[in-house]
Amino acid sequence: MIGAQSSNDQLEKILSYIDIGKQEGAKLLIGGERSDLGGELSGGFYMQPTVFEGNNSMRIFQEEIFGSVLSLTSFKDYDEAIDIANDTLYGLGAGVWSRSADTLDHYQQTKNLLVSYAEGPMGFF
Amino acid sequence: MPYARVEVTGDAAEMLRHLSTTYGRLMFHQSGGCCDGSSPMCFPVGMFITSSADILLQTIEIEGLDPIEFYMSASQFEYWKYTHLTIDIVPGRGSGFSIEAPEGKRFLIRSRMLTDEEIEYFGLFKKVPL
Repeated sequence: MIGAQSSNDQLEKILSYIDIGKQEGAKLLIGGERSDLGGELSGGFYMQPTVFEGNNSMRIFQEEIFGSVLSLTSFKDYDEAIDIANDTLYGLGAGVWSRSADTLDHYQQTKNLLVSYAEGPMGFF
Repeated sequence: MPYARVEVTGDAAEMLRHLSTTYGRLMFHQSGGCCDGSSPMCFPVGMFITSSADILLQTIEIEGLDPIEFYMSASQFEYWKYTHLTIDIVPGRGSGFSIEAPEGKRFLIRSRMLTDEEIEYFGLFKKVPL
């Protein structure tokens, strides 16, 4: 179960992002609706966990939704993944998960270069 | 002008009329990042300083009010340029920098994709799906 949003306006904002996600052609994999937990929790600001599949130029990828919405895209190789990660206006945090120790080593050794080159933004995986 | 990039709902217009009696001329800047991110911020003209990094999307005309300019950062606009925006208003938590917040309401953007006619009118090329 996911906890409630902090306010009605936050819940409405999240729902408006789900709406624009669908309009932009993202594929809704799970969730996408307000959640009614019933009983005394009915009417609470609850949101279903939501997952979209799309591409990084979509607004649901580029903007901070501040809700239980995850946007997924795919990449063909390490370099494309890093390009996608760097293609953001708001670099806050980034991370790499890999089954390959070589990939992790490479990331560890090169990520500082990326930060200093881009003056900050690293993208968010 | 046949097409507008930004419009307002009746309820939002009503709030803007109410706010202007206290604050005078108003403007909007669309916030994009963290904090009150992804929300239209309403300020009295002069409180929020726009720059050459911002784009004027629309001058909104509401009867009885001075024109209300709606701004967004140019870099953010690159991702928003295919969407039409409608400023709506919903019950809010009463917190934040936008001036309607103490009223217990919050402006909210409802978006839709531009129609083909609008895309042409605004001089855009159609997005090619990947």
